[in-house]
Order: sequence, then structure tokens, then C-alpha cells
Amino acid sequence: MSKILTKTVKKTAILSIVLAVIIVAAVALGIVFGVKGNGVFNKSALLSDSKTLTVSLNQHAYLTKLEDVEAECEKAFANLDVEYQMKGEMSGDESEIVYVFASEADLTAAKTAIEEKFDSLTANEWKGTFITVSANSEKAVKVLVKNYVLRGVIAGVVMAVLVFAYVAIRYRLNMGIVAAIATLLGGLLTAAVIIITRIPVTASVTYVLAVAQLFSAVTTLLTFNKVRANSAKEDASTQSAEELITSSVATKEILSLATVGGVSLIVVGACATAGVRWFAILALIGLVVATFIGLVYAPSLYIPFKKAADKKPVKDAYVGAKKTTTKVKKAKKEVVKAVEATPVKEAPAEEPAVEETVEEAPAEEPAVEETVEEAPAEEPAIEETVEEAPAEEPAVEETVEETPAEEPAVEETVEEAPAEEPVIEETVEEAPAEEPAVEETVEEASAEAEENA
Amino acid sequence: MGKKKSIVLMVLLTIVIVVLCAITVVPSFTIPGTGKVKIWKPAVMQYDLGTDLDGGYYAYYYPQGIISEAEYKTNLEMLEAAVEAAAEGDKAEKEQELADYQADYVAHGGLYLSTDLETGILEDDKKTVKKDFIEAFDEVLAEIVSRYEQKNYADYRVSVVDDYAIRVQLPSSETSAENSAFQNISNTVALFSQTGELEIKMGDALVDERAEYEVNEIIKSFSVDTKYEVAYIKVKFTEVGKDMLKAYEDATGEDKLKITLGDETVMEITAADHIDGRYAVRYPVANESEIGYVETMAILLNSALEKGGYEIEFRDVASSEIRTFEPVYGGNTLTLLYIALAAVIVAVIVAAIVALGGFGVASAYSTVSYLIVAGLCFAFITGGVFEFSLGTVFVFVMGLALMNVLNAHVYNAIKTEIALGKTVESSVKGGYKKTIFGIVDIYAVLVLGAVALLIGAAGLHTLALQALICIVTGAFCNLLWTRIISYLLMSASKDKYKYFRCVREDDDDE
Repeated sequence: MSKILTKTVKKTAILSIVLAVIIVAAVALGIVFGVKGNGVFNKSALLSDSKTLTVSLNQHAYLTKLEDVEAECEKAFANLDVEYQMKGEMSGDESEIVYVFASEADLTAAKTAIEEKFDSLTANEWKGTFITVSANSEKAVKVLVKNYVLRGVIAGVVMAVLVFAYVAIRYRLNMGIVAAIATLLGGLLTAAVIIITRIPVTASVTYVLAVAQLFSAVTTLLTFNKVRANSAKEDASTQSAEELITSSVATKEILSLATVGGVSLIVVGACATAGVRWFAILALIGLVVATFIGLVYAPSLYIPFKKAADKKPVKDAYVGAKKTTTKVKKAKKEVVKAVEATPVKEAPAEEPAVEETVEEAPAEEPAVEETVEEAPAEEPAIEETVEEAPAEEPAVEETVEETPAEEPAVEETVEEAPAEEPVIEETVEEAPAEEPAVEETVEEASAEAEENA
Repeated sequence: MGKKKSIVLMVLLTIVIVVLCAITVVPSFTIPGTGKVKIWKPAVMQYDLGTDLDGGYYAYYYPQGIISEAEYKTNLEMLEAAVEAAAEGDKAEKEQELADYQADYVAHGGLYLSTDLETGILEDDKKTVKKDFIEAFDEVLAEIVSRYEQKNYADYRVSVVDDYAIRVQLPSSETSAENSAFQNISNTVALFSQTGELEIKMGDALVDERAEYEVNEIIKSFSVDTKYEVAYIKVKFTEVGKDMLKAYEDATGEDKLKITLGDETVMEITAADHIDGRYAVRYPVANESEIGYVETMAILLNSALEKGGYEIEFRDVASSEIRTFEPVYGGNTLTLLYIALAAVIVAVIVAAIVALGGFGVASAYSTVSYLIVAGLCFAFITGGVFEFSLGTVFVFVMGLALMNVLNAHVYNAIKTEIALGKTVESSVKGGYKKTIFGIVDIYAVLVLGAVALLIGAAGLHTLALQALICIVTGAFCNLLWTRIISYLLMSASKDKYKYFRCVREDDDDE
């Protein structure tokens, strides 16, 4: 992950503040525009009050002069610098063309100019045509289904709750919390940017918000998948939470998704009409927000959660290893004493070997001790080592010969120990179960040593 | 799998995909040599489209006594022309008619209000609008809004024109088996313009023995029912109403029991045909395929039952007065959009092949399969209105992007396994094993998110269904379909390592 991105991810507090400021600014701006009557969002003609200019034509005019009528209207609008937002048409016995303007537009001059022009044309060149011009103002009463906005907000919240539940169960509780926040933030931040930039919207803005929320969850999950995979690796325990998370951001996947989606939207916006372009821009904003959340904010937000989880003492951690080690030491000493007490001719020559193994054992014990402290999981190793001890006692003569062979076994168990380190949690849980086994084998070892002695 | 077998299977699969692709996207054309003119229509041309892509219709509701400026001017022009054309003897009369007409109306914005005091619009000064009229208009406006709300259009608009007229704007998505969208809209606009009182009559008189009751104390509700491919209005009666029906059943008179709305007879009830064993009335209205019309009727009757009649009556809205408006985003929006989507799909296919090699071909097949399944499901999955909007395009594009990115993710995992020295087959197994649960988790979260969106209303609800289609299709392609096709392609390829753009390491032991 690039250095800039890595540094940015670490700045959780600053990012949170910036996002909060954006959302608060959007809320404030929304309230200001809402009070003014312009609406929280910058609504397009379909959703807001408007003015209309209606050009009514008789059938003859519609069939023979329609294009000319439209051309004259366009000319008049251009001369008076008045721009319409939509156009409607009706054809039949009485036909009409309706031009829809923003509510602030002043149509008086346009209406007068067009009326005079058509009066002149119908009196002279366009005989037989009958054209009237009228202007109306419209107040939008209902543009959305009942409870559309409320149900949309509820759907967004329920989505975050479901995402939290799934991620908390499948991953971790703290990941679930971050995923839920990321999901909610996807919709909120997109809405905030749209409000602040005053991009004209229709009812389809809700689609953008919904998809932005969905893909915020997806980009967050892409990163969490990588965090989960990297956490299971051997070197994960040596890494700090920050290092683990910053190295686990799914940069490639998220940027690929953003690139493919973004290029597709740009192509759609470039090929289609002007109105679709506005929608494509809104969709791009949603995509950028989802990318930012998955790439920067969700990992950044997860860092303090991970740190808190790492600091928390591991419950039911096995702390009895030292006692066991003492018992092992005692058992081994007794074994050694028993071996020394038994008269064996070859024994003296081999004693050094045995002694070596005995001497090695203490040397290994610290290693075993260390590994026990670090990873109680190695008690199986201890178990193995201890289990080997009884095997040595009954056949002391054989033991001498076997000892060199056992050294590799001991070494193997020591070498195996580090491999168990990553599975710390599991072995901690297993550890208490191992205690009785070790104690039993030690007791057996000491019992057998006494018998042989 | 043997090479020959896999080649045969791939060829068959390719043929099926090409045929389905043609059914989905090949542009409309006239089918030659069929005798009658028949036009081939692909699935993508059979979508119900929202106003942003296909425009819609609009109509005006003018209260009695109010006309538009266009109508006033048209009538005025005709009267002026009559004056000009009149003979000398008749000129005065024609001029008086013109003057009377001008005096009959007073301008209010783009409307003309009748000065006739009987219409109840203006005060005695013939300039100020009566408060009673304003209140009555507000009441009827709320009623019209409520009726259209219950139709659950994805996007629609009800607006007040110059304070005393109503304009409704509806999408053109309400098609049915027997009627076009225009006819259905016409029926809806005409039905909802009725503001008369709901009454129960025997013959032409109100039901006498029940005259002390209001109609909503006799009738409980109206609902829609279907049976034997016929759509009915089902009328549930109160106990008082059931007693009335029993009496009607036993009566031998010739007068029919009627339910009327204003001056219109909505139902003429025959005891034998319409009254069932539980004393409810099931009145056939239309074929089951026209259930939308019957639902509209039920909305109208229920609102009249609940709120009674209104003082304001609207002028009849003939179908010739229904206007069209072009798509919000322009007349060629849909065509240009489809061209853009085609370009995107081609680009994604080419990019996959270039980036992922042989596996990219499998991903390309998945892309086309995704297009086919999603395209066909959008067209045929529901019997109801399933509006295709810009939101649909967005969800489709993002689903396509996600599917391809996850295919690339799997490809990289397989390549990592190959780099460890494993065989291709076990690398594929290992690569999928490593990535499958992550992919499953992503799609599971998307499904949950889309299910949550079902709570949304109208267009958002439809978007949720469309998102579910795209998500399930994408999951199928990522988890199963790409793997199957890759297996077939791999079996058919000469060098499996080259398929994944890997170089096989020399085996020293050999």
C-alpha cells in the first residue's frame, strides 16, 4: 500500500472529523435551502415547482408547421435568455407543445414575443393555422409515493444492521461495528456531497444512495477479508495492529472495482443525453465515496478497535506452565538419579551421553519454558518430551544407545514449538486440558523412576 | 475431461449463449415472409420504462366553470371570426355574443374563471374567489393526491396549476395484455376525476328502508378478487347491508339494486349472479389481465366510501386530452444508453481476455451470461410493473464490475498457487478454496443489503428486486459458472500453464 495511503489510514481522528464536518455542513446547507423553499436537494423540474408555456395549435398547424413553430419558440427563448427544462407534446384535434421552466423564470416577455410573432405569421404567411400561447405557474403537490423518503431511510438503517449482524458473526464483533458504520456512511456521505455541490436531482438520487451504501459494505468487506487472511499468517503476531491493517487494505481489488465501475459510468454519461450525464455524475460520486470508505476510512476506523482488542488480556490464559516446568524438572532429576544409581558397565562411558542429554534437557527447558510462556500450545511438545522420559527409564542400557537418537526427537519437539505459536488462542484453551496429562505423565515418570530405583 | 468432449461442450454452450444473447439484445426488425406484419422484439425492448427513460403522459383536471387560457382564446378567436364573417344584420348579434363571452370569464394567471355565480367560484363582485371554493378545491386536491398515491407509481407528479386546476403526470409503464399504456392511463385519469357521492339505489331511488343509514354503514369495503381468469370487485357489507341483501334476494320486484357514483352506475347487482352465500357481492369487471383497471376502480370506490362526495366536480377528461411528454433525459436516451452499455460490456470482455489470458475467456463467457440472465429476468420475472430506470443501469453495471473483479481475484489466487509449484488442477482447487468464502461473504452481505432495500417504496422497492437479480446472477457466475467454463476451456487447451499465463518450471527429477 502506498506511503501516502498508509499515512492517511493511520489518521483516524482527522478523517472522522473531516467526514463529520462534511455531513454537518450538508445538514446546515440543507436546512438553509429547505427553509428558503428550494428544498434540501437541488430538485430538477420534475420534483419542484415550475412554470409552463403552452403553445396550442389546430390540427392544420400541427401537421404542416410543427417544426417551424418549435424553431420560432426556440429562437424567442434564446433571444430572451430563457431556458426550458422539459418539453411535452399532445397531438390530436387540438395539439399543443408545453415547455417547462424553472419556477424563477420570467415568461412574460417570452410569451408576449411569441404571441406577437405567431399573430403576425398566422395573419400572413401561415393562413389557416391557429396558434395560441398561454403561460401557467405550477406548484408541485406530490412527487413521491407516500412515505418514500421515510421508508428509504429505514431501509438504509436496516441494511446497516443486517451487515453488522452478518459481519459480527462471520468475522468479529468489532469488524461488524466498523462494517455497519461504513455502510451507513456510504449513503450519508454521498447525500452530503450531493447537497453541498447542488447537483440537480430527480427521484433517482435514492438509487444512487442505495447502491453507494451497498458498495461501501462491499469495499469494506474486501479489506476485512484480507485482514482475516493476514491475521492467520505466522508473522501476524509480530505486527502491530496498524501494520497489520495498513498492509491488509485490499487496494488492488477496490481500485479495480472503482476503475471498472467508474469507466463504465463515464462511457454511459458520455454517450447518453445531458440529463443522463447528471445521473452518471451522481453515481460516480457514490462510487468514489464507497471507494474512499473501503480504501481509507474503514481500515482507519478499525485500527483503534483492533488495538483495543489486542490489549485486552486473553481470558482463561494458561499461567500454570512454570509449575509444570518445575514438575518436569523434578521428574527429570529423579530419572537421572535413578539412572545414576543403577549399576551399568557401559553406563559410565555413556553417562556423558546421558548426562549430555540430561544436561541438554535443562538447556532445553528454558527453551521449553520460554515457549510455554509465549505459547502454552507447546505443551503437547512438553507432553511428548515428558512422555519420552518414561520410555527411557525401563531400558537404561538401551536408553544410552537411544539417547543420541532421542536428541533429534527432543530437538524436533523444540523445533516444532515455534510452529504452534500462531495458534495461540486455540492452544490457550487447550492448555488447561493438557495439565492433567502432563502431571499424570510426570507422576508416572517419577513413579516408574522409583520402581526402577 | 477429454479434449474432444470439452470442445464439443464448449461449442454447444457457445451456440446456446449466442441464441440467448440474440433473444435478449438483437434490435427490433420486421420478420420477413410472415404474411402479416410481425416485428421481432428483443427482451430489452420489452421493459416497463420509467419517466426518465420513456417519458409518460399528463392530463389536466379543470373544475366546472374553469377553462384554460388556450381554450378561452380559441373560443374568442372563433367568435371574433364569426363577427368578421357575419352579415351586416347579424353583426350586432355576433358582437353581443362576443361581448357576453368576454364577460363570462375573468382571467386568473393562465386560467379563466367563470363569472356565473351559480358555479360558486366567484363572490358577487365577480373578481374575488370565494373562500368556500378555495376550501372545497383543497379538499378535492387532497383526495386526488391520495388516489394516485395508492397506485404506487415509481415516479409521478400531481401539481396545482394557477391555484385552481390540477395537472397529473404519470409514467408510461402501466401496460397490460389487452391495453396499451396510453389506454390504461386514460382509464385511470378518467376514473380518478370522479368526485360524486357513492349511493345505493333500488331502481332510480335510494334504498328507502335503509335511508337512515349512510352508505358506509351499509358497505364495509371494496376489494379486488380474481377467479377463473376474471377480475372482480368484491363488496363486503355490514350486518345492516347483509339484511338489505337478504331482503333484496326475497323481493320479486323488477327494480335492480345499484351502486352509483355521482351520475354513473358502477354496479347493477343481480341476486342470482352476484350475491354469494356469505352475502358479499362479487361483481365481474374485466379479464384478469386487466386487473390494473379493476384495482383503480377499487381505489376510487373505497375513497368515495370513506370520504363521501365533493362539492367540486371536474370536467370530463377525454382520452384525446391526454398529453405525452418525452423522456426526462431526452428523446434518444434509451437508444444512447443501450449503445453505451454495449460499449461497456465489450470493453469489459476485451479487458478480461487481455488481463487474464485463457481464464479471461471464461470470464468473458460469464459476462455475457450475466447480461443474458439479468436481461431476461428484468423482462419476464414479474407479472406486474417492473420499471427499468437509470438505477437499474447503475446496479447492472456495478454488478458486472464486481463479478469481473472477483474473477480477477480468483485468477490471482490460482497463479499464486501455481507459483508455489503445484499442478494446474490443484492450483485451481487451491485458488478457489482460498477465495470462495470471501466471495460468498461479499455476496451474502449484498443479498442482505438488497433484502433491506425491499422496505423501500415504489422505485426503490423495484431497484431492490433488480439488485437481487444482479447479485444472485453475479454470485452464480463467480462461484460456479466461470469455474465450469474454465474447466472446459482448460481441458480443451494444449498447455494448461499457458492458459493461466504461467511458465512451467522444469522438473529436475525428470
